[in-house]
Amino acid sequence: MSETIYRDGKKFDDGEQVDLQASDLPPMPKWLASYAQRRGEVKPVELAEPVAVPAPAPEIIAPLSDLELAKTTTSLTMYNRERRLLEEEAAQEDMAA
Amino acid sequence: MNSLLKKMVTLIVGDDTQAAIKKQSTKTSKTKLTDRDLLRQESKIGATLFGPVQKGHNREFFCLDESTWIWHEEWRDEKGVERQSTVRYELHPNGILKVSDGPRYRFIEGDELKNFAEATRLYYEQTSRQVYGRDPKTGLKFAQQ
Repeated sequence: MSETIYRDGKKFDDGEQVDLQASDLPPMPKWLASYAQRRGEVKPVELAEPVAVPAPAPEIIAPLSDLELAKTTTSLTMYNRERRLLEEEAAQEDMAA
Repeated sequence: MNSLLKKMVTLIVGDDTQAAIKKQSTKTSKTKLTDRDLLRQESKIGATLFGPVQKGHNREFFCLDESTWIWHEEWRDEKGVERQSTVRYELHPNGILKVSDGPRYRFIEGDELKNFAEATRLYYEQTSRQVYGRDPKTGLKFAQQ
């Protein structure tokens, strides 16, 4: 009867080294088999494609700052005044004509 | 330059804005209606923008030119002495400079700046309607709408 021994991951029959077959491997413990099975089911983590950062939403048009408001109303006021004077001048010329 | 206008400008504005007034006055001297007429009408409205004027006080608030607003107030104190205060607001690219008696200079900020801007808006809207008969939003004469 031959004697099989395993040493350093190698199989020896009657002292002679033979190739180690898969069937020679001891059965995998249940806990390890279960673990391996779960690992196999777990898909490797894939790095997500770089997500393009969305362009910032169009900014809401900010209301005029206090300074801009003052400048705008000043210009409009002066425009009103100049226009009124021009109208008056034109009316005077029409009357003269 | 009309001496009365000159006196008023000196009193209210000071010497450094004489050139602006002179320019405006000369430009319209041939017209029946003058800058001064319009400015006076506007100022009546401007004086009401900050609430009722105290009894015995005379207030002026008006847009002098493209970059200057004037606040002027006169009154008599308890002893009957005439008092007056003139504030000039200058529009600069970086802010609004307040020039008070003294003279004292500082850029206005916070609520004061907000209130000033709001006052100029109300001034424009009300003078558009009441002095120029125009819709402040469209600029059209009311009769044209």
